[in-house]
Amino acid sequence: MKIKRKIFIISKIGQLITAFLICALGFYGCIAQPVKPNGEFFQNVDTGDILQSELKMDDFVLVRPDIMDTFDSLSAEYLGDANKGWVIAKFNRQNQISPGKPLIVPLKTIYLGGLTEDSYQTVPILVYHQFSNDHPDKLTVKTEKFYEQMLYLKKNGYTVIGLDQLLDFMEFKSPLPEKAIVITIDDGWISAYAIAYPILKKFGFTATLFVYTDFIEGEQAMNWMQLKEMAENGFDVQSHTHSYQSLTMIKENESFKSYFEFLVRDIKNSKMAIRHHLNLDCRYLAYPYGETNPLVISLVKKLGYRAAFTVTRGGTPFFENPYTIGRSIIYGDLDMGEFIKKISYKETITLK
Amino acid sequence: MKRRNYLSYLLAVLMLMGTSCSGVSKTHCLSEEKEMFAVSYHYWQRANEAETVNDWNMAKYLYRIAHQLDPENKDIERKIAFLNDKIQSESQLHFQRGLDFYRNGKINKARQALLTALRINPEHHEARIYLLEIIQQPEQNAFKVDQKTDLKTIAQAFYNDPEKSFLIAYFNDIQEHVAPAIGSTLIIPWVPIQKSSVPFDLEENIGKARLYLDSKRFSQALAMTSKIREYEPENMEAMDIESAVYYQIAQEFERFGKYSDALMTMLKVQSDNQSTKSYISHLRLLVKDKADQHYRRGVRYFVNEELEKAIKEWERTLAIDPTNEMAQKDIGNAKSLLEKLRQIQ
Repeated sequence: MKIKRKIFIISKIGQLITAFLICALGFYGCIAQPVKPNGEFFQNVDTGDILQSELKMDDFVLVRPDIMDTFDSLSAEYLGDANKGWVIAKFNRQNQISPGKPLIVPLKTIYLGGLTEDSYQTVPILVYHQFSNDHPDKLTVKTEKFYEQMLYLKKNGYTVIGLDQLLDFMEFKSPLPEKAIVITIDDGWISAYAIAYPILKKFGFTATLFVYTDFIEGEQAMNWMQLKEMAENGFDVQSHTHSYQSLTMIKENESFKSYFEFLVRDIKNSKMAIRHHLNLDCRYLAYPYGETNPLVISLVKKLGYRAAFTVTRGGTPFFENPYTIGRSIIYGDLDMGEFIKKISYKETITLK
Repeated sequence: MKRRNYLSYLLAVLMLMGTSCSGVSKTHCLSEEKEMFAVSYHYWQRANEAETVNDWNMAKYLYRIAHQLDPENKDIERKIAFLNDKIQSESQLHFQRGLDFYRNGKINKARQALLTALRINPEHHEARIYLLEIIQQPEQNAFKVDQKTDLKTIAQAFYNDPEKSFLIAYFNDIQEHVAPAIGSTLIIPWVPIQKSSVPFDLEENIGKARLYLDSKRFSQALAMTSKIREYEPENMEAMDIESAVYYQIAQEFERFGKYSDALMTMLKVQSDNQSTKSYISHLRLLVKDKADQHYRRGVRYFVNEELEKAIKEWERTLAIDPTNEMAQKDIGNAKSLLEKLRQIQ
């Protein structure tokens, strides 16, 4: 009986201690909780059907991703740009999202210019002209070859970007994925629509089409409807001038004034045609034959172009002159080894 | 008995819920708090890693994240302050190095130093501005209108062709026949010339000019760039070489105290970039200082009634700084005084 009573007393004391500890813990939770950061601890945010947890701070957002989230969806939500999912992935050193595991969305711009201790980033810009199933020549790339090249880019983790992204990188506004690349297709040949477009779509890539507007609707050229369709699918359509005449050649017996009037007309008309037919803001120009001179550059700037492109080989670092950006022509007889050389994405240099 | 035990537990749990977590996420308050510290610790560790490999900018950012999650942590606060100083001082060091290389015509080394400054501190705006200036040659001049003139006169001065006034009017959105406002700055685009039919190996000649520059054969380098610019007046590489030649010549003059010659040489540089401007203003100060020295020496001779010596010093002042009105006036006074003394004698 005495033993039972002792056990009863001990168990009572135990219960009281436990209850006290629980209360103390609760009290600690209230008093000893560290000073909260400026944001709210994992505030539950109702985003439709899904409840998402987040903590917003000055420099970053700490999120507990939901099963429905992807890096791109988080990027769209917090960075206002679905193309920057790679920034979140890289910052968190993750290849894929683990639902429930906290992630940082960096709000501060990092990785600007792609500068590291031993290199700086260069963006390869490729130029294609025509494509053909059976008649390759110097400026015509065979369908199979183009497919292989795109497959190589896909397998090796290249990200195809647009010219706005390129210029934001060059203006030191935002970074690019390490293996960013620009694909451009010049002139407006029908094969760009019939051959390149389906292949690019298959790999989830887009391209920038530099068209000379006088050629569009021609016998071997695309028409405005086809260009519109491509534009609606994320492709960019920009100017290769109106008539594709060299902008640097003053014809024999031509006065300087009439040469200048031709320049204004040819650069202005293509911009107007693209806006008229596609309702696109034309802000980039590829110089015919890649040729330019200081007067042409001054005029291109004056007419509101943000950048212009030559065909000088080599990748583009952020500090390149935006009005003489080089591009590498992909010739029909280029083998894979040479293609790989053209898509180098960094320049080795000691920066320490 | 058992029921009473459960009641006491329930009471304790209710107290815990009621008193401890008044925030939004009530059910996971303690675990979230732990998680917060864990996240803070994780970023503190990553910051340490970044700091070890000298990625100070990233380290600073990671410490900031850790600190915002653990705001009471004074160690992190100190780390951030330390890195801030480090980033500022190191990037400034590379920036200065870049400018020195640039002034000495070592473009590649200047670019490398400026890129390093930017890697360390991407917010170093001056480093970026200079970097772009080195790489991106301007394609137009800026002309400040400081007296009454018309576009034809300006076109004549720049293009040797008054008929190109329409070009200046177009680029500046003004009427061709209307005189530009005094004080306004006009854009003067460079114009190309028709390419000559005589074969001219541009690359080879640029290579030669660069070789002459590297071996300090300045006159030959200038002769070669002049040949290149006859063929292509706006050739940027040739202009770059010319600027480097003038820089180096000016520095030689400066080393021997020939400040006026250094200044005159620098004024030939066809670039109004920041480093040219700052070197020119540095030389102007040296010239002014030297002119002042001669002027003051002249005054001392004058006070000691050594008029001829005083005049000589003031003439030296004028040779260096022809705009020095005091020297002009004092020479006149001294000469008339000397004349009077001669008449008396």
